[in-house]
Amino acid sequence: MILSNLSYYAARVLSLVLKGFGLFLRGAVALFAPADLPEKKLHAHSRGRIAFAASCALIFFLSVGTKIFFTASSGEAASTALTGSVRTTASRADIVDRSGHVLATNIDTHSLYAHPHQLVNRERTIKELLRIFPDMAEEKLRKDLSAARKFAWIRRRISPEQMEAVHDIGEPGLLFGKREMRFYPNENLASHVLGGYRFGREGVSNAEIIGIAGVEGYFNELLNDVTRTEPLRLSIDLPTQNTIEDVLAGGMKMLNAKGASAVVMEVKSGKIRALASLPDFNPNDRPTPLLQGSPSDSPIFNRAVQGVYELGSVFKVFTIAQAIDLGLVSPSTMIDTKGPMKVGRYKIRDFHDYGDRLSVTNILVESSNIGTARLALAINTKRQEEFMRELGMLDPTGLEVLEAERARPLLPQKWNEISSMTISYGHGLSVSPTHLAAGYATILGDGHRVYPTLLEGADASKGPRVVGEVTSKKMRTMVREVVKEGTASFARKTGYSVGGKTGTADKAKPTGGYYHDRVIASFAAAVPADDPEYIVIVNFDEPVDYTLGRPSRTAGWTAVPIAGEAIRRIGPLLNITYTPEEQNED
Amino acid sequence: MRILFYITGIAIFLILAGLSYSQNYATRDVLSEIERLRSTITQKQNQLRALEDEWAYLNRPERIKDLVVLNFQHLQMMRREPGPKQDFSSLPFMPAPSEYDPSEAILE
Repeated sequence: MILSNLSYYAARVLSLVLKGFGLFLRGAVALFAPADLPEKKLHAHSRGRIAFAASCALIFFLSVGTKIFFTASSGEAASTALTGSVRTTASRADIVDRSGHVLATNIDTHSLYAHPHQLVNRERTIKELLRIFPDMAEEKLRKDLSAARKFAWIRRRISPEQMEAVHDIGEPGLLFGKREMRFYPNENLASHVLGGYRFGREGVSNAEIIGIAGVEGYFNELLNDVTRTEPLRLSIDLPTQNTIEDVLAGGMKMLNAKGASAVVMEVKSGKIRALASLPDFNPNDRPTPLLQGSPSDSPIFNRAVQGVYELGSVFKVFTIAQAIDLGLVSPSTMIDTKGPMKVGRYKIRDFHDYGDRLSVTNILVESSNIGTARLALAINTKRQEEFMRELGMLDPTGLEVLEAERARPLLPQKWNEISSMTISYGHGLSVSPTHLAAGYATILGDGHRVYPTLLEGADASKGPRVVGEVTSKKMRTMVREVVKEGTASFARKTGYSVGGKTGTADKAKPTGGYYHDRVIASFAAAVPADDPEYIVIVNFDEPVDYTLGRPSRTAGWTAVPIAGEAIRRIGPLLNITYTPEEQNED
Repeated sequence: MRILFYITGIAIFLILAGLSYSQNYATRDVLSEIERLRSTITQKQNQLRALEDEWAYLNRPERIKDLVVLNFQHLQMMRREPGPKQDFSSLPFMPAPSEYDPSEAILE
């Protein structure tokens, strides 16, 4: 359309130019005509001159006209003037929770630098700067501001009040640069999800913001993409996250625990509504990694994602689900649980003696290691390994935080019969609480593999089938029994029908072997149990409860009551289907 | 006749020249107006962003929780207990201004 228009005008202009050129030639000839010509001819010559002048003028106007025409029709000048971006600074995209609450944004601050050679009163400047920034070393400042230097940073970020004070010095050698910095308005809340940032390449007027952990790290390039105007929407629900952290912090204090973590995951989609790890930190002022000791002692260590632990009996759900799915047993099949069970030089014991035989349901309810190990023998090593792989227990979770890529489960060096049996009740295979959440969502959801995600807009398509729907239904009934009759009875009175499994695992010593007075206590729960909407994982590192006067460390006394309180409080926030108390207690 | 033709021609020429001259300056004025508006927009956007940041900071759950505790006498806000599914629209509104005067809270 535009092209045909253009060619039409070009043709017209060309024909006019040619016509003009003819007249021009006649005029040019007339200029050099001799003066002594007959009157008639002279007359013709003067007409030629006029035509020449007129054609010159015409060519001039035509060229100006065409220029105006083309400029106007192409809209080039107009586009830069009218639609030019109004965003002056290339800001990093915000991060918001699922309903749009801001989790991370940018604020404008200023940096302070000096041109020491332009300083008028050096001594006074140094004195005043030291007054405004009392933590500054005089030696260094004096060196930085020595006249030989042309440029020196004084402060990378200053507050408006400090800027005002520096302005008042009135020193022309002190200059301010614009600088954007990341701001996390909720401070410690969801700090492990968000991660943190540092400044990259620095100029006087701006500095590159680089995400170094969490979501900020994982989506660093996407967030820094200048063409992006939409904020990054996470699946995190701020009220839920806040409640979980609140309850978890209370629990940690009560149980004298070293650390705690929790994951709340939507069963159908794998969307994570809350992910907490304590101790936490303020991402506005992210602590530096520890140089000595275990990295897990640092508050920046994400226990829910990075921490891989032998989680203990919570794994029994996987073993039993596989045995049922393979058709080896039904929930009522009786299994020999006479202990201790000897395999080679290895002995497997139960917490209590549960008698000679237990049904599969009761193996889960009473948490019998021997019974689960027997099921693992029936399943066999190869099939177990394959099942664990299908469940995602042998690979990183793929969660969208930087730490997840490096959180590889710890597998036995050789997956033999003994490791197969210990893995059946959660020893010898270390996974993160996020792995566990995904595994429980897979088994208790509808049997399709669930991939954990932190994105609200994540792909909702179903993963491959891991266990049958019938198995899934049977498992829901069984985990409900654990809460009604078994080790997780403290999760009964929450207002919601909870089903879940406890796990108390002795912590592995760094030097080999296990501690006997340090445990990892976990509770993995599905609410509501008959048709799970959410998976809640609560995990404590070295908890002790003294309610009974003597120390109890089992998950039933530590993780379960805290998880119960968490469920009671997040239930109304997440609109979980309510089960009236009478029904709940039958 | 011919002279009239010339005069009208020159007149049209002058008028057009005048028009294009004024058009030129009108365009420049509009462009500088756009420039001014654009910087105003940027400024307002920055202000808006700063206000949004401040709003987010003031609305951080920790502070809201403290405010609820501090003003319990007036607000009587309780934690939601487990119950049948509810929509947030079914929650009661804050008491009408006649019953509740925020300045009271400040005065105490």
